[in-house]
Amino acid sequence: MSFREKSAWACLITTIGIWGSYFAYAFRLFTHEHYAGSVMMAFIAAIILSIILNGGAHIAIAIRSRREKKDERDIAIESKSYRNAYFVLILLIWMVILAAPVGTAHHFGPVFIGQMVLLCFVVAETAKYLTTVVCYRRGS
Amino acid sequence: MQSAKVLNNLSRLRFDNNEMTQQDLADKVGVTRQTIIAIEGSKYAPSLELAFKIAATFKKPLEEVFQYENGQAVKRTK
Repeated sequence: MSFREKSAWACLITTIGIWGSYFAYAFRLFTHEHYAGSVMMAFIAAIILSIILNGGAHIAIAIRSRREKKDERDIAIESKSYRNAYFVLILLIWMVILAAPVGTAHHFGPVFIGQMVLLCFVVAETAKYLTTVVCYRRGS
Repeated sequence: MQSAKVLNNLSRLRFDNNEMTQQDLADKVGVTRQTIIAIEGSKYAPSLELAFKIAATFKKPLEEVFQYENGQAVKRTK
């Protein structure tokens, strides 16, 4: 497995693990009355944890594997990953835009809408890493 | 990235060239070993520049290394 494939696996696992837990926690809080502060604290914790785990994983991968320059196949896989992530992001953002008036009518405030936008970014990021991993696994 | 339409004789050519390893070939043409594996398995079609570099490494014309004919992949010559 190449350095870049290992890196994509590390990013995929940490993104799903950290942000999956974050959203599970954050969406449970929305039934509570004063949730904004708790959500913000959880958000900061998720970012710090993400930096620590990703940094640690990449240091471990760099020590154990041979660092190679990005070649044309890596660039092609990266382009495909960004393309897929972009499609996912645009689709989800449009869904949030269209659903926002309905959410506002049902007393979902700006914090909730903000969380939905954040979820769009996280899902798009996951799609990017997933595409990268699938392309490397398939050898294409 | 293209579908597997370009076939090649890389493994035979490597064998004929003092059993050159995939890593040796990768280092010579400036790509990763995984890219050479993908090309050998016809899972990845290299760019024209990389195809020429590989052919030059073996001192062979391009068509002796890679095959693509009339829009149809031709059978690999053993």
